[in-house]
Amino acid sequence: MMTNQTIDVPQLPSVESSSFQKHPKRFLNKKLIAKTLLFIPLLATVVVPFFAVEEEPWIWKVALVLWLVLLLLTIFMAYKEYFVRGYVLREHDITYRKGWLFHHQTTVPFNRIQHTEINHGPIDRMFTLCELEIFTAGGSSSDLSISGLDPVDAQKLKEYISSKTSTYA
Amino acid sequence: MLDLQTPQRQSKKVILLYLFKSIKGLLLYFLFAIFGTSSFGEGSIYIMGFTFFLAFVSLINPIIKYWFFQFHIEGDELILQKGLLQKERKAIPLERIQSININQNLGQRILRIVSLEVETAGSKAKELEIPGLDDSYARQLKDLLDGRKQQQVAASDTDLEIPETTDEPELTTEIPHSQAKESLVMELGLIDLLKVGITQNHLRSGFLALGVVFGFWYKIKDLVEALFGDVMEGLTWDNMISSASLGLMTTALLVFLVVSILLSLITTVNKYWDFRVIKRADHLEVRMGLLNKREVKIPLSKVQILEFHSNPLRRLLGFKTALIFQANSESQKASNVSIPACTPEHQEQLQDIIFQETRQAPLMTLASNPWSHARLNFYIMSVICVPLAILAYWFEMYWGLAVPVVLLISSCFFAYQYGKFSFILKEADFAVFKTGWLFPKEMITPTYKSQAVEKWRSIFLKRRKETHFKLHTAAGSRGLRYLKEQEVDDLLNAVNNQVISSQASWM
Repeated sequence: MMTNQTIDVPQLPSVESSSFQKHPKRFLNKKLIAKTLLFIPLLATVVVPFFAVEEEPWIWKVALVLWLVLLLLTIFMAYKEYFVRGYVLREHDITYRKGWLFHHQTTVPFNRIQHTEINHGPIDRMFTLCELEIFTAGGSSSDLSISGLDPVDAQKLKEYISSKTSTYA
Repeated sequence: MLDLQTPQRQSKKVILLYLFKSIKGLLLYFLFAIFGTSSFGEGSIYIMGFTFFLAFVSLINPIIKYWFFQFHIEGDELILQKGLLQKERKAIPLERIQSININQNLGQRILRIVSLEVETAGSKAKELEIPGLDDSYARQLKDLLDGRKQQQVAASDTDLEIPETTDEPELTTEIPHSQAKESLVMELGLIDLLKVGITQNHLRSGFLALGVVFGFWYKIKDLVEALFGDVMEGLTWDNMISSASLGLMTTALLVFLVVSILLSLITTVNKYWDFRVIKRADHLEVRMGLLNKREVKIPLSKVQILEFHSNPLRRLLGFKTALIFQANSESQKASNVSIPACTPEHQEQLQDIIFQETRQAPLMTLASNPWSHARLNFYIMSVICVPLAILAYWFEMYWGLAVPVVLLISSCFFAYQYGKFSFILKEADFAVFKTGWLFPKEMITPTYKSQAVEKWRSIFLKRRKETHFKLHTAAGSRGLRYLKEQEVDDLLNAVNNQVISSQASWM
């Protein structure tokens, strides 16, 4: 028995109506700490003028203000960024959105995924996080890397995606 | 018939080709050794000795290279073996071969040999090259590999679907039949080539030539100075520049332009000489070249994007340049082909051949916001123009203010025009990007070949409800900026749903 029902175009599925899954809260902590750690070596630009150029104290003051502004800006962006980052897993595709200053939203259908990979670096492991990478044939520009996932979730995601992609292969 | 069961060597002429190559590489060194050693005194004996050693090695090496380069077919694999000290053995499964190209450069032309290049998905092209085969031998080998490959594919297909009807003779008769069906799509005569040459980007070829001249000069500078030192002393940059007058400058500029145009004519004729596109069963074959012959095979299923480029001069002559982009793991330029001088009929014909579906009226038309393009350009150009203006004001050269003002206004105008003439058209089976005003491009890709869709925007665009769109294919990404967010959402969903429901293979 064959069916061929009419489909109303506005009724077709759209990404916007689905709710995006957020990353675990410790991903935010990791981001904030990692960004702050990144700024510690840059303190040298303040400390060195402080001791080296004593007759011109304005140099290190300006450097300190610059350093603080940059640090706050980076932390602010990392904080903002956390709340717009998220993924949606649907029946036939996966969508990932990220970025506050530059916001990207990419959708990859399962029948175009080549393979998937789970990575975790040392800092990721401290926070029990990991990164799921999804590769397509479109080259690096269309590959998705979903960082800051719970390892258990990542494994589940990977298995779900592999089971889906294998039905197309 | 070819015997490929046992390892085969290339044509013996390839020794001369290798020799030519190694001598070319060491030419400067030998020149230096001949003219430069006299100044070394006692050490020159050793240098001479070393030179003779090098010369000996470069004579012997081609023979060794020839002797140890072997190829044959073993089971379902093409095997390449090379090297004496560092042995290499490459096995290429026949069914993985994407295309087989025959190339011929000047040296090979003189020796009447050709190189056979085997391309697989995700290989670096040069590695799988047999550089010296007799022309007829190479063609036989190519046909043999093609035939074996199709048998492989057919065998694996029939294994899956219809296991009964695989009679060997039927297969072999079928393959030549489908290969015999070929038709000439287009060819270019000398007049066409001159037209193409005249409408090239002359500035680029001019600067390229300048670069080559300077690069070569830099290489031989020391040698020339050693030989003609006294004559050269008077000729320094300072002297040349100080003696230059306005008249000299304009002459130089004119000469530069004429040379540029001549060069682009010559390079065009050389590159596209005897250009022809032939359609065979499931692939296009493109042949071209005067000194360096090139023959490229494009499997139709691998084509992801077809582009048509134009410029004001070409529009006058009524043709465009077609570019065909194939799927590739790394964006290898070699396998992307450009077809110059496409008349509107040719364009339609190419489209029909490459994509099975015909184009229809667009279902969606997304227009780019020209004001946003102009605004972005204004910000970027201000970074250069505002300091320029301040400088001019500071030094009280008020006429100098005109330069940044004109630059800013004209570039904003161009950006506005770019946006005004840029669209995305979503047709039933294709996504089409039309961009540009003076240099318009049309990019056509079948929707089902898309790999991923993306929208992105900066935070400043959020309240304007505008966003950028990007379509990723296996041959690269194409996109357009400053579209309405709602329309982009519809487009994203439409493309995505079409990819999901499509059963067709993208490659």
